[in-house]
Amino acid sequence: MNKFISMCFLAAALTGCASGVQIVDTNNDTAESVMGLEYRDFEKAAGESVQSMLATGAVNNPNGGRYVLAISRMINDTMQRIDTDQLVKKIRIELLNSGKVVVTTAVGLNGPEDQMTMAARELRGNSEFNQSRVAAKGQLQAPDLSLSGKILQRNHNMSRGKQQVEYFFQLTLTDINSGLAIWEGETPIIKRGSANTVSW
Amino acid sequence: MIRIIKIFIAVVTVFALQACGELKPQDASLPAWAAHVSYKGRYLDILDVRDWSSEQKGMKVMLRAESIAMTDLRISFKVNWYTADGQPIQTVLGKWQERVVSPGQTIELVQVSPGPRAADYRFEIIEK
Repeated sequence: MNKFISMCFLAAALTGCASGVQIVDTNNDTAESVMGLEYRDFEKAAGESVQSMLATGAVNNPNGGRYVLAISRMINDTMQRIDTDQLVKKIRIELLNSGKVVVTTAVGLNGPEDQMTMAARELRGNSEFNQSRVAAKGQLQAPDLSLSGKILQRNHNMSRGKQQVEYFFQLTLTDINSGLAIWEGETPIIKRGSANTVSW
Repeated sequence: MIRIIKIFIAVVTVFALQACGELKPQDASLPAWAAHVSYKGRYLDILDVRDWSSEQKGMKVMLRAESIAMTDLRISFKVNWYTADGQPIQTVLGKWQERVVSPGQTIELVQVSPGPRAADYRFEIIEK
């Protein structure tokens, strides 16, 4: 009897030692959603946007070859502190993999995303460097398209202690040459749950 | 000698019949869409699966199904995309999506491939 009790205590102690942390398989995550924005929401918004861009042919260059895309302003108008790159990066990856678009990191609203493109050009005329390897003049590609957008949030109180939180992912693809929006998309993500849950 | 010839003919006949069996392309009881759909549920009647290919846009696929459940049916679905040589394509377009289907409602699940390199696809549908 004493042996059995000791074994039970040992089993309980070992269970207590387990950290309880598990790696989530993001390809098969069926866990409940949360009221705030989570990675699955960004995946859904990015996926639907890219599907729409590809389906409408907005990113098919009629002259052949790939369009050069610059990332413009992405406004976070939600009550949460989120990095809009969570959305933009997924779109960039999918568009690049589609073979239709390539993103420039040399042009951005707040300066180039990768400053090394210009920094490396300062090596011109430096005799310490083999000049044949230094980037030549007139090689940078100006963007054809610009991607801008906004993420909105609206909260509504409902009856029986519930609330509805609405998120809207709005994106616009602009032809820089003409200034015309050649594609626009909106992905709504609506969540309903307890009013005690915070969404900020 | 005749006995040996008879045995030889019998063996050849058995092999020939076996070979004919292997040539049968597909189980006749399986519906035409079975090659493109993985679904083991009970309450969704899959009516049709279609696809359209374009060199410029890639593939567009559509699955049409009707709910035969008595209550709202919650399903998750995704489309796995493959290249011409059968390699799976990793894409955010292949993530699980949810739909709620009312009793008797017919739904259309339309998906677009992640570019022109996609040559084949497979719907995965599960009931929740």
